[in-house]
Amino acid sequence: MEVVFGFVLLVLACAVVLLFAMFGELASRVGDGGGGSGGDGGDRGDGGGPRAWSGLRPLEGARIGAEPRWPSELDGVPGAERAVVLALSTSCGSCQDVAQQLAGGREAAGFTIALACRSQEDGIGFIKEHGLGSVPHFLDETGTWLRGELGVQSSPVGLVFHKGRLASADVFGDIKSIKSLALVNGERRLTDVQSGR
Amino acid sequence: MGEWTINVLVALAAATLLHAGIYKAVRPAELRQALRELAPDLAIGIGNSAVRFAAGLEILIAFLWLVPTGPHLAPTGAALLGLCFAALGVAGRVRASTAACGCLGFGTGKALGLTNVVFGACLVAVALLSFAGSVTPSPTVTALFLLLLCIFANRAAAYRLPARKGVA
Repeated sequence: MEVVFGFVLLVLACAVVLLFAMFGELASRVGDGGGGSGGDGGDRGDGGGPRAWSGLRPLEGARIGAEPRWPSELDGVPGAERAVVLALSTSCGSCQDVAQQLAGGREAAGFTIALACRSQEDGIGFIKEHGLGSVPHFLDETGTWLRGELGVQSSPVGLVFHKGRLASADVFGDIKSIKSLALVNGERRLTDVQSGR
Repeated sequence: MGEWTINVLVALAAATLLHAGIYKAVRPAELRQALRELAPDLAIGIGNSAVRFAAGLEILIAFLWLVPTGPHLAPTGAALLGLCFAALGVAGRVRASTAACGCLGFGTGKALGLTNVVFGACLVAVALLSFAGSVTPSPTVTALFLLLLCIFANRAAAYRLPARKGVA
């Protein structure tokens, strides 16, 4: 009887741990990284206003392992050992924040952009507005290429390609977090794909 | 070492495995990220499912350790897990891993490294000790250890509550 009681107690304890782990996961998704057991975290601001989520979350439905057909604007990616493509959209608020972080080019070094837009004019306007003309980019009208070739229907998403194959797809909110995806042996090896356009 | 001490150590090891397993099952992204950083060439094969499978193994071995099973089944599994943890820790140390691995579920943000080596070695040591005699760890003690680990892992949330109140 005592053993049965012990196991019931153990199952209840497991349920408590499960609950707290889920709280931690929820906190990291909504940008409250300090709460719960989360350590990967969102921002750890001490009580200021709301700040952008800075974590990473694997994108459900992305075709990991896929070798897409590449548009000519992105032809520098498949030949690279490792490349990071940022899937952005003209209609998402977080993408505006990311584009502002990329503006000026310094933070954008090594990245390529696939921009889902309603029309070419819409995409060109977004690129001009944020000063991203120097960053290799592909204007994906209505997001057909991202959705059809890679199963990406969200943004902003960091897509890491290994020799042209999709290795990972993660939703992100801060450009610094996506840079950690390309860390190899403690060094940043974001592949130079500037010649892509 | 007395049987009572070994029982307590096994209960603590089982509780740690349960805590780590549950955390990784809910939040596989951290370890997935750390493993991808460690072995970028295998990145495509390392998904959330693989991490959750490993987490399931940890939970299964922890439960098996608490019930009378086949001869040394659970201690053998625990020792193998310990060796895997230690090997990953060594690999993380050698390759200067930087991504938080979330291995034990404490949310410390530590990358694969020395902590994993130490935990792996401790797990192997406890498994070897439990080979020695008829070990019957108490599930009640394990549950208490598990709750203490949960409190420790989530202490940051408790610290933040007064601050939140002040801001509001």
